[in-house]
Parts: sequence; structure tokens; C-alpha cells
Amino acid sequence: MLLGLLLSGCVGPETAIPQCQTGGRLAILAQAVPSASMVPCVAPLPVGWSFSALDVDSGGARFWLNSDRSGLRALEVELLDACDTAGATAVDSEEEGSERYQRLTSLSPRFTGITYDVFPGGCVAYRYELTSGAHIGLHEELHDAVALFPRRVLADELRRDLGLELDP
Amino acid sequence: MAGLAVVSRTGKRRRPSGEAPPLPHPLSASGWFYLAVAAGLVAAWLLLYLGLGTDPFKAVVRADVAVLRAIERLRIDSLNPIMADLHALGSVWTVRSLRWGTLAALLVLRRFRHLFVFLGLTLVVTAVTATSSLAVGRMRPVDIEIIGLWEGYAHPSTPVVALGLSLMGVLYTLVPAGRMRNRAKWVAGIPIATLCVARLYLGVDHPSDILVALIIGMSLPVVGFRLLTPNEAFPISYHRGRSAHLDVGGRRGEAIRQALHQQLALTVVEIAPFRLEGSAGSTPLRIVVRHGAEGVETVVFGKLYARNHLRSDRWYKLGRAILYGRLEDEGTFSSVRRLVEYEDYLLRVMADAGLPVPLSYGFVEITPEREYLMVTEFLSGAVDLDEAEVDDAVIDDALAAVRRMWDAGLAHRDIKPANVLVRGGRAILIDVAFATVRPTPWRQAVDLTNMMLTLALRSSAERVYERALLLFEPDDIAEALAASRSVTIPAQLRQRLREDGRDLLGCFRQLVPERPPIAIQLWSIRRIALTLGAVAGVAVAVALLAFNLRTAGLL
Repeated sequence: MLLGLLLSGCVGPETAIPQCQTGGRLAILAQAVPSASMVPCVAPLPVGWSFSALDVDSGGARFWLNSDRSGLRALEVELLDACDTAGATAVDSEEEGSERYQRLTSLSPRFTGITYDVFPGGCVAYRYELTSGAHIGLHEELHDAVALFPRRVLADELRRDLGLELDP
Repeated sequence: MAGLAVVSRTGKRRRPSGEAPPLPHPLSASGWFYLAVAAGLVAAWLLLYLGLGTDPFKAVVRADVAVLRAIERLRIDSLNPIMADLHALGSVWTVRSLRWGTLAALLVLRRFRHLFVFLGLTLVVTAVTATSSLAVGRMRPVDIEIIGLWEGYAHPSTPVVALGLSLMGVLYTLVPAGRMRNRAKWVAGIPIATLCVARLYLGVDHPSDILVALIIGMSLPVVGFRLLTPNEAFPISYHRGRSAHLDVGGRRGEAIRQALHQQLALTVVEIAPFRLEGSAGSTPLRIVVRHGAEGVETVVFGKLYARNHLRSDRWYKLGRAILYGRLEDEGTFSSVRRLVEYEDYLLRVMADAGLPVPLSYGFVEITPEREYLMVTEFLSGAVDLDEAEVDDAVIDDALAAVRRMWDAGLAHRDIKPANVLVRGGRAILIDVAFATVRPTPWRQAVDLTNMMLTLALRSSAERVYERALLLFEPDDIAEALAASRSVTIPAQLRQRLREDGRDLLGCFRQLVPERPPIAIQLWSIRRIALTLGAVAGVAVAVALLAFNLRTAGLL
């Protein structure tokens, strides 16, 4: 049956999207970095963006987004317990409770760089490689596509639903 | 009443309706058990996948956590690193070593069916695991401290599936069935159980993740191996002999005895494989039987056909159609029953035409549609042409057989030294399964060339040609030689010609009137479609294989 679901396209990479809502698919990211007070999640994707894959283990979590203008895996989002922000420029953060840093590595022929969202107990690194020219719009879109979700909300939901503790 | 006088009770027994055939083909009790477990797995998946957030799902989660909490209380600091080390039993390197080792061993042993089934099951089980993992999307255990490394979703436990599948692969492709495999199952159970205990101790999996992983990693492969490489047809043995040959001991031996007794009124005294090395398409047997009221003992020849022989025949013919075009009507048989019916029919047609072939006693059913035994006269004292004294009488007799086939509208299509026996100075044709009625004239011509080459190996081209002129026109012989190519000569005959060293085909061609070669590369829509299909199939298979081998942890 499950093989049938896969073949019929009902189960694919997009099944694993860690959407910005409570549940096991997002909570497992919190388990990957037990110290992180926030976890990255996929918001409703802007037109032209699609989910590629999720890779999560006991050391961290990564997922990738494709762009119809910048190609496959144009954005990599990685959740870590710490980031080295040396040399990065502090910029305004869109997320409450986090600081944002940005380090551009190339403007042409591709617009590449890393943005860090640093928060208590962890950080999220956004590595992007965008098509020059369209990069201004794409850069804004990628930050709309990914948001930070509070660990506390995940833990509360788990406690309420099953009476279990995310972080015993 | 007059009619009854000619119909006597022969000792044969009609199998009553509802009675099992001599060798039934049911799934064994353990097979049913594994199938039931697999059905349970589907139900479990439905519960977990479709029931996320429902009360049954929550009950499973709470039960899982209760077990893990109990195990957590048993943790001892000194035991933690040991469990972390034992956890490596499920590492990609352990699994990779086991799988590559198995594949390499199967390649060396030339056990290709087991190899492909193992590879196929690996891909299927890996796909099922990945799909279910993605579909369920279960997080790792909560409410306990996880002290081990983990990767991906929790359900089902991928390392347990991988190790279970790999060890089942070793058991069902390399270990002979019976006592040895039963013992090996216990041995294989030790690392699997150890890995499960380690993962539960470290808190990386829920008990239900492991339970489902055991079902996927062990039950699915066992059912797959039993269905696709049944031990009755593909026994694992380290004795000498070709893998296409069936084991005629045990239950099959008993079934053969029962079938011969009930269906042909022959009481078997002894069954033994006979000249296995000369046969790839069936399992040849020498059977000593008693028959008649006096219990006269005699020897008959048996050819056991099973579905694997049928499949070999299909692949062989498909390969020929792609490589050489449709040299003739190379239709495949739709069932084993059709194959033996055809061979029996051909033997009788040839005998009616006065051809020197073994007398057919018919065939018996061992397992309906799956296994049949052809029974013919045993040619005592007959030797291969390779070993016989070949004088003018033998040459004339063998060439006369071809002449009779021409006149009767028949072609043997597999004339080679192993299929021409000599007994008492007479040539006898055997192995008529490839023969055909109303063949193309081209095919009949090829039969003549192959017979002339076979005879020339034991004499000379000049002598065979001289004797052939007594039965065939020079133009007929010239046509036969013009129709012949390397691909029209059976492999064994080609090999003998190479070993002989003389250019016998060239010698014959110098003797006959000149004639341009007859085209044999006949393209047809079927051949084009088959070739394109095969190329596309291979390309897709290679791409899928490379992708899946990586997913399956083999690359």
C-alpha cells in the first residue's frame, strides 16, 4: 500500500516538509539539537519555490529548497547548536528573540552567501546561491519561505496531547 | 461387453477430484505465518500512518514510552559505551560488507537467480522502508534521554531492517535448507537481537519501530525468497552439478515415485541423475522401474522439467531474437505442460516418420503446470558420436535421418555431437524439444549442414560429402552450406570445430557448386521493438540500480 502511495506520488520528498505547526515532523528537528530554543520551519512557499529534501540526525538538521529561477537546492537551511559568525555583519532580524548576521561571499556570477539566525541554545544557517539579477527578490522570498518556530510551543503541545516531555 | 475385453485394468490410478497432486505447491506453514505477519504489518502501518493523533496511536506511543522508561531505569554508566559499540552492528559499513559479500559469493558461485532476487528484494525492502518512514514521519522517543546516535525518522527502525534483510539474504542464498539453515537462523538471530536491545537501551527507537522493522526486514525477504527461489526448484547445494538441475531426493523423489506408479503403472526401484553435464534445459534421470504382472525390471530415461527450465527457454529465445533476428519461428512455450506436451508429440511424430528417436512412454504430472517428467526409452549401450566408431554405415544412417526429416516436413534444429548417439552402428537422434513441424526450408538446410559438420568431425569433409551425394542433390547441399553461419551452428558443435582446427565448413564449400550466402539477419518489427525495449530496459535498470544501491547502503 505504501509502495503504491509512493508510486502514485502521494508520498514524496514534500511529505517530509517541516511545516510551521506542531507535530512530529517539526519536533524531530528539535530533538536533533536539544539545546535549540527555536527550530526552522517551512512557511507557505512563495511562487517558484519548492521543497527538496530533509536530512535530520542526532547532530543537526538540514533541509533544502529549490527555486525555479536559481535551480535545485538554491537554499540550504541548517539547524546547529552554535554558529561561527566571525566576519559576518549584523543586520535587522525579522524573528523575535534572535539576532541575524549576514556574510556575502560572491555577487557575480552568482549571488552567494550565508545568513545566520542566532538564538539561545542554537542557530540556523541559511546558505544560498541565487541567480544574479533576480537575487534581490529571491533573497527576500527565501526569508519569507523559512521561519523560526519556538521549541516551547512544541513541548507544550506534546505535554498536552500525550502527557510526555520533549526535554525530560 | 465386447468392449471391455480390450480395456483391462492396467494398474494405473486416476487421481480423484480434490486429491493433492504428487508434489503439491502450497505455501508452507511458516510461509503462511510470515504472510500473516506481513498482513499484520499493513494493519500496523494503517494504525500509525492514518491514525496519527488518534487514541490507538496515542496508546501505542504511551506503551512504547513506558517500555523505554523501564529500560532507562536499568542503564548503568559502564554499560553505556558497550551498548554504543554494539549499536555499530546496524552501521552502514556492517550492512554494506554483508551485502557486498553475499553478492560477491553469489557471483563466484554463479547463482544468478538468487543474486537477482536478493538484489530485487533489497531494493523493494529499502523502498518500502523509506516510503513508510516518510509516510509515518515519526519523531524519536520523548520523555527519556536519548544517549545514542540516530538518523532520520524513527519508524520503522532502518538499521534493524537493513541488518535483518542482509542476514536473511545470507541465509536464503548461501546456506543450504534444512538443519544447517535452521541452525544458521539462530546464529543470525544473535546480532539482530543484540542490535535491537542496544537501540532500545540507547533510547533511539521505540519498541514498535523495532517490531515493524523486524517484520519488514525479515518477513518480507523470507516470503520473497520462498516464492521466487523455492528450495524445491532452486536448492542451495555445494555439491557439483548445474544449478538448473532439480534435486530428485526428498519430497520430489517421493513425488516422482508416486506419479510414475499412479500414472504409468511403473514401480520405481531407483532414480539417479544421468549425464547432468550434457543438459542445461532439464534434469535428466536414469530410472530403474518394475512393471507388468511379473515385475520385470527395466531402465527408462526421464527428463524432469520445471518452471525454471521454461524461463531459461524464454530468455534464451529472447536473446536469440535480439541478437540474430528471427531466424525462424522462435515462439516460447506458455507453460511447462505445453513444453512437455510438445516434446512428447515431436517424439511420436518423428517415430511415425521412421526416424531413429527414443520411444516415448509419455509424461507424468508432478505438480500441475509446474513440474512434469518425460519418460522415454533408455538407450542402453548408446554412446555420443564423439566417442563412437564412425564408419560409412553410421554416416549414411545419420544423413538418412536428415533426409527423412526433409521428406516428413520436420527439422531437429539442434543437431550437434551430444544429440546424435550411436548404438550398434546406427545413429539415433535425441533431444527433440527444439524440433519443429513444417519448418522454413532454410532451417531444414541448416540441419543438413550441422549434421555434415558433426559427422566430418569424426571423419573428413570429403568422405561425408561423398556419402551425402547418395541422398541429396549437389544444389541441396550447396544451399545448406550457403545458409550456414557461425550463429546457426549450436554452441557445442562450434566449440568442437574450434578444437578440431580444420576449416570443415570451408572444405565443404569448396566441394559444392558455388552459391551466394543466404541472408539470415532478418529484421522484423518485433526484433526492432525487442532491441529498443531491451536497450531502454537496461538503461533504466542501470540508472535505478545505481540510485537504489546508494539508498540501500550498497554504495
